[in-house]
Amino acid sequence: MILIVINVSTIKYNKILVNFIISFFLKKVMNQKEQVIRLDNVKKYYYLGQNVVKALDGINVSVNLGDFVAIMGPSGSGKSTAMNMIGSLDKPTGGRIYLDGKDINSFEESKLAQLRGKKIGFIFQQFNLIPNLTALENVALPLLFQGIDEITRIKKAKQLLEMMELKDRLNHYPNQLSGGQQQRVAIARSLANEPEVILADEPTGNLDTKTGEIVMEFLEKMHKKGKTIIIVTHDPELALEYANKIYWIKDGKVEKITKKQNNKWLTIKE
Amino acid sequence: MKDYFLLSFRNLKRRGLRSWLTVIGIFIGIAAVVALISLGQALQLAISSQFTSLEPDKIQLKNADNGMAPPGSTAAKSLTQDEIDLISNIKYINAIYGTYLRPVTLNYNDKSQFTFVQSLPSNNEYLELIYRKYNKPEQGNFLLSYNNHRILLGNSFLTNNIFGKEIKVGDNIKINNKEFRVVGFLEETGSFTINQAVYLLDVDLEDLLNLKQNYDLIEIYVEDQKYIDEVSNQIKEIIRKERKEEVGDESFSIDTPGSTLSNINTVLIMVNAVVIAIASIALLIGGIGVANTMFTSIVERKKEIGIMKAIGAKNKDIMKIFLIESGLLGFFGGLAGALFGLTIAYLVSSIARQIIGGELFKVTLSWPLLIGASLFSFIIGLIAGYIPARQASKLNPVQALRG
Repeated sequence: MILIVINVSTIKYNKILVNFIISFFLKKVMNQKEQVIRLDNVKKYYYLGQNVVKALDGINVSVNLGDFVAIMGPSGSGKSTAMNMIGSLDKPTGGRIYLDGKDINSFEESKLAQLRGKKIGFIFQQFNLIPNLTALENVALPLLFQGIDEITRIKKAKQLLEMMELKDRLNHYPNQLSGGQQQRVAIARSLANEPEVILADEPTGNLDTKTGEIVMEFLEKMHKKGKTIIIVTHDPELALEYANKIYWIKDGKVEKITKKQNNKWLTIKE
Repeated sequence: MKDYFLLSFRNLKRRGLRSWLTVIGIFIGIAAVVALISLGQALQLAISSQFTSLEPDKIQLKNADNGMAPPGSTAAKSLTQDEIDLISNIKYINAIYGTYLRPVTLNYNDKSQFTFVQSLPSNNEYLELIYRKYNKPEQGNFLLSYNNHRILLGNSFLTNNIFGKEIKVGDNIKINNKEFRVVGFLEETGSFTINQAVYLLDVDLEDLLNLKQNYDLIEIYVEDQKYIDEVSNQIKEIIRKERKEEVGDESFSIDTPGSTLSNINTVLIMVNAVVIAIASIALLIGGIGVANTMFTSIVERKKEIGIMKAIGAKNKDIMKIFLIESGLLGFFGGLAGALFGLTIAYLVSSIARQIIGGELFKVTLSWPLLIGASLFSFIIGLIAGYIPARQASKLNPVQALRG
């Protein structure tokens, strides 16, 4: 009797163990390939009378969870348009954009706005804080749009600002803060909804080298904590220093993709 | 929702004076409406309290007027004792008497004053009815049927120093050069005609002016106010028959408390209609002002809208922020206008009280009016802000971010 019971229970345990091992491996494999954002042959054409301006002419970008991606290119290359597409701020004239595996074209406006607010945190070159709100209120604002209650909002915003070492600046207005401080508030704001992706457009463009470095260190820290970071920049040094995958954009097309492997940059194909 | 209000309020505060200048239209419109409505309410209250202080069971018969003067005094024809006799046959009549209302010259302290005197019936029962509406004389006594060569004065002879010297009970005043002794002063009433009245017995006035029972007014008291309409209809019929007149072509008219009140209300309604017409133009302009401000505001804050959209604001959220903002603009304009209007009304009524005298014409703070006016302007703001807010909410985030 006892033996039978033991037998049955070991069989049970074995089954559970096998299941666990399989799912663990599956997860690991899946994780490596989990795409957060994918641009599939995305085109953005502007029609000016007879002329067609091809801001983006069929680019493919894929960003995986945990990547630190740089979109590199000189001004006018289409990298800003690419950023708008990645951030699902704009809709393409051709091709498809997938956010979390779903085609954003299938979403209606309010759904897309909500999803954007939840999945992507934006950081801009001009900081883009709301001038008549304090640092704390600025950071809490994305939570408001997700319908989160006030107490939670304030608590969360305080936490984030503390993390950005701005504990003593909670009630300062943007014009009372230095550029570096403003950008740190902006980073805190981008983290408010705990997004998977942080999308930074020339985050150091308006800062001197030193404060720029501080801001980049914060982004690097976020990356280490598992966030997916995408920066758009014209500065190859910045891209090479922090990113592990670079899309080189020129004339609305991806010129090449380089990837850091074992501290070496390799040109890859997707 | 509270958070959106706060957000919108911040925006208004930031734009400061520019926000408030644009709501001047709403401010003026609401100020005008509130001022005139509160004055109208005060006037209506003053008039109706005057009428309830008067007699609800009294009918006045007078001949058709041909000018602006106290009732009956400029009538072409006089009312006769025969007519009084005819009317007194009607059932339910308690008292009936003729009244004179005549211009005379008063003389006191070597100063003359032109005024109207009104006769009282030499019948103590009737006088009792007339004096019902007063508690007691302010000073001295009421005039009674045996008080020949005596006069009873309205309250303003006490308060307004008309003759440069205070009049006391027992003093003599000359009426058309004949001396009359003051028996008393009436207490103050809401009616300035009563406050300025000079009363004496009808027999005295007939002597003084050589009158022969051709009255200016016939006053009738019915047994109970429920008979007012019935009795006044019968009076009409009798006099029409007596004077051989057609319906609608009478040379006389009948005033009952109800008819007088409704006449005054008609005038007030007309005044209100004109005011509301003017005010709606002001409010329309105010609304356009708010819409215009909101349009400029959108242009100025395009980038902000873009930012908010980027961090997850839905079109609906942007719409809410802008709508509340324009609503608040209207609300504060309306609230300020309502307070200003109340102040104006209060000043006007207190000046009027000083000129006319009397305590009844008083503007009081009406909460429903204040709240109603503010809410109404909030709604005007909402309506005016609807199109701008929609435009703001529909902005493309990328274009908006570009500023």
